[in-house]
Amino acid sequence: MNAYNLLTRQPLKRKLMLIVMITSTLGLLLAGTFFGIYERYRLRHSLLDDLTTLSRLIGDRSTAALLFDDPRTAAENLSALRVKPNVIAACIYSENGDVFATYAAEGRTAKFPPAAESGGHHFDRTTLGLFEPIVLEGRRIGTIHLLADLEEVKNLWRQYLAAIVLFILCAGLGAFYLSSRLQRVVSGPLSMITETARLVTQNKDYSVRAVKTSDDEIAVLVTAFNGMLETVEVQTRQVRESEHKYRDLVEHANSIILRWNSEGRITFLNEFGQRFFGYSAEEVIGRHVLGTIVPQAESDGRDLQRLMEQICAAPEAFEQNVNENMLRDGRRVWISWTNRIVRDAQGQVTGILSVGTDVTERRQAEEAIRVLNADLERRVTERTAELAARNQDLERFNRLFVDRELRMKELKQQIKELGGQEPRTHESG
Amino acid sequence: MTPYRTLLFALGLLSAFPLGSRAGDASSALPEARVVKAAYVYNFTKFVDWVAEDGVTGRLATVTICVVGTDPVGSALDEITKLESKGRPILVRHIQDRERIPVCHILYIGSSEEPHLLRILAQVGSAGVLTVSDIPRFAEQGGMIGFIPERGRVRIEINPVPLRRAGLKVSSKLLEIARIVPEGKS
Repeated sequence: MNAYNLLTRQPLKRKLMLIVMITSTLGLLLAGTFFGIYERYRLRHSLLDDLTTLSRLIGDRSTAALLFDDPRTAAENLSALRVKPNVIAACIYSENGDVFATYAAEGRTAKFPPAAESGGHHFDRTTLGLFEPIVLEGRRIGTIHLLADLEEVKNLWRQYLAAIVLFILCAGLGAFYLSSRLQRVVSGPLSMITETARLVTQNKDYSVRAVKTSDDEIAVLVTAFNGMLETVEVQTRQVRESEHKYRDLVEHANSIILRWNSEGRITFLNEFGQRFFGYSAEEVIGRHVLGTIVPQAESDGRDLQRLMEQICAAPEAFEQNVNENMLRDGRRVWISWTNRIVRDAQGQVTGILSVGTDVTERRQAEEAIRVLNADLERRVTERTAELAARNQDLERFNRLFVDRELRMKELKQQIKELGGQEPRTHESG
Repeated sequence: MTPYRTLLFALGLLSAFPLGSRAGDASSALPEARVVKAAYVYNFTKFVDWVAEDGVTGRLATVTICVVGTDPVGSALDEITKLESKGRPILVRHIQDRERIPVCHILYIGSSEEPHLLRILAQVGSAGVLTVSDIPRFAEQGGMIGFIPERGRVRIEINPVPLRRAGLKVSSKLLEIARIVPEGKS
């Protein structure tokens, strides 16, 4: 598990080589072990075969010696074993199991086991014992026994093992060299894609393309990757174009476009706004609206800090808002703001987008109209009062006249009553 | 006795005999020696090739041993009739008339025939008959295989000249263990 983790953490190049090396080394070791074991078996059995053949030969040679009771000839036959230095001792048993003739290699003393009932062999740690029946015309007339030293076989086996180890080392080196070259077939095209991907992420340059160098799954990957780059490139261009269009629109609109976050700090102010307020972007971005474009309080005393806090806390309630603002040089202006909340994909409020129009002149005009109206009203009131006074005068005058008339009328009546004759009046018309 | 047991009896003594003789048990050694020699005669059939085995009745089917004259070995030979050689049964015939010896594979000449030895040998001549005898210096007198005692063992002596003349092929193994009569001595 640990080794596996270690493997997965390696770069692809090393991973490929490790896989190849682990596999080939394992294969070589297995093959080496197998061949080592097989060779041991083969060496022992070729010795056994040799000795079996030899013992049959000598046994066959000694049939007459056995039948005609001639141990000397049998011993002579056995002494032919001198040519086989690994034979330590040998003997021939007669039919009833007695030792008939013996042989011992120079400098060796031999002890002979009782004759085996049947043929057979026995591998010891250091020796090979062999019993072979001597048969003539289907009848067993004796047994031959050979005892061989395994030292030579062991030496041969050691040499073979050394050769195998050497071969495994050479093959391992060869495999290492080959795998380090051949892994490029896989890792080369992949590292090319990786390099392209790195360039793309580093430079945001979507116009680069991976080169197809093979015709396998990696080629499919390259095609797909390039297709994706193509799409990204086109989309990026479109996004840039549309962004440019909207930026143009925003920058050159004859409105103040302001973006500020919920802490009250300015994150964006369009060119018109910058010109209007007299700040450059660097000067104003990141600063709080209060103290820059918003004064602490309006000229007539409204607390703007409180208003800003309210807007920040609940922007929804201030979709439309007119308040006094401040230019860099301290002049006060009136601006009508349209506020919109900006949320991120999770619906969190990330800021407020405010579009403002300068309404100072309108406000001034309105003020002037208000003042004018008030003046007019005042004057109307004054004139009305004047008229009322004149009316009163007139009425009084009128009343005087009416009283006189009435008196006249009464007098005339009295006269008429008195004289019956209607007096002539001056005021008939 | 079954053939197998006879075999064991005859051949088991091959190795038992030298021990017995070395022990100096003369009384048992003498009857053993004749059995050993009879067994040797049987064994010769395994090491000798009769080339011209045609035209003679019965030769192909059996191995015929003719015995002329009498001695202990000759009578012991009856024991081996129950054995086989190269898959063929062995037939032992005792010949009464030394003047009319039939063609056999092996002709055993008993010690009693020692005075007529040369005549008998001349009669068999080159007919392809293996002559064997217990008569002393038999091979040197023109016989093919004789027995000689050597340090308590029974050895054989071979004269290659009559063998060659008779067209018999003797295995080199047999020659190896035998004393060979030098040529010109016979």
